[in-house]
Amino acid sequence: MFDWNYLAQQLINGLTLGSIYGLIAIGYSLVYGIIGMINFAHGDVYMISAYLTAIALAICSLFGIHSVIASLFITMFFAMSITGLYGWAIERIAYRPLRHSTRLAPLISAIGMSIVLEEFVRISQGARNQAVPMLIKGQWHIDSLTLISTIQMMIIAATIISVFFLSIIINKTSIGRAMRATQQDLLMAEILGISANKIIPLVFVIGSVMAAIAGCLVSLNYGSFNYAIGFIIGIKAFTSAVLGGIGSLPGAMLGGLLLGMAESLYTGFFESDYKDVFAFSLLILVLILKPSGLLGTADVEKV
Amino acid sequence: MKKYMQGLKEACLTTFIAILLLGPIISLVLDGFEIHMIAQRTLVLAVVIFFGKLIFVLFKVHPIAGG
Repeated sequence: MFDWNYLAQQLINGLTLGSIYGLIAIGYSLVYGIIGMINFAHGDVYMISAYLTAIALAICSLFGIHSVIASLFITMFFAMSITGLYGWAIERIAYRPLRHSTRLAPLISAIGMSIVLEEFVRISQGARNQAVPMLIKGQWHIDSLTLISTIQMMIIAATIISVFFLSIIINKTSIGRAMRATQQDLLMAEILGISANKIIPLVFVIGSVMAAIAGCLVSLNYGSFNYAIGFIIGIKAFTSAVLGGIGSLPGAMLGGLLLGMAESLYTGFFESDYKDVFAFSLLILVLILKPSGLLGTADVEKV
Repeated sequence: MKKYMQGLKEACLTTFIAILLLGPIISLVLDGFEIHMIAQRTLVLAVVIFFGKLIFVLFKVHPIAGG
């Protein structure tokens, strides 16, 4: 007999995982949408936010701040602001000097930046696994057998709130209008007075802040991380962005949710060893059927 | 003289950003749920970044480099 409770549990787990993929995928999609390049250091920004979370929590404990809400607020603010600065620095160091060079040059410099960040953290903090105290405890029963933990609910809620605010920034503010104009035509936007040197770093900062939210919540959820976590989650988030249609924000979120659900369902009903094989097979299948991704639009070249 | 003062200002700003950016990870080393502060690392970082940037900027404005 089919276990519906088990299916519901896997869907909740998939929704949580997918929310994380979606948050990180937004960073890839934003940067690709504006400059047409992939920020390969984005996964490492997520990894750094996990370290900053652990450091901020330790500082809170050192200063005798034991309130969970206060610690969480300080930790998220600390992680988001420093990680945002990392986003700005990545653009300033790895992208801006190469903006008018060949397409491959910034790609290589971004890969180099990713390696630099990873090794910088490994040398500074050590290669061992680090731990974060399980600050948020408790779980809720949806029915007798299906559970959702408080931190899972927080991840889903934080994702909804972040995406809501991001869509307001992009669709309702003058900065968002400038971002959309830069996305459509960088040269024309510059001619019309939009400063690319302000908009492009801002996009990197927004993407990094999204990754910081994900990194903070994931480290609180799993309680353990190391310097190498950025690589695999970066690849998964990139896959999500491509699956949903790179350059499209709803697409990034949809791709993340689909990938998270697919992984979770496959792990729950089949084998966890092959979950990555299944996830990437799904990507290949979608790209064969719809090369621009689920919500992406194919580029039309005018002759 | 103005160019050199500008170089000094740039070096100070770069050092400040570097400390803000790299300082927490470099000097606050995690050990379980606690942190150990290694202040010397921040000091070394600040010195290297400050003098590195200063030399770079001064070289750029020097007549040898066509500045």
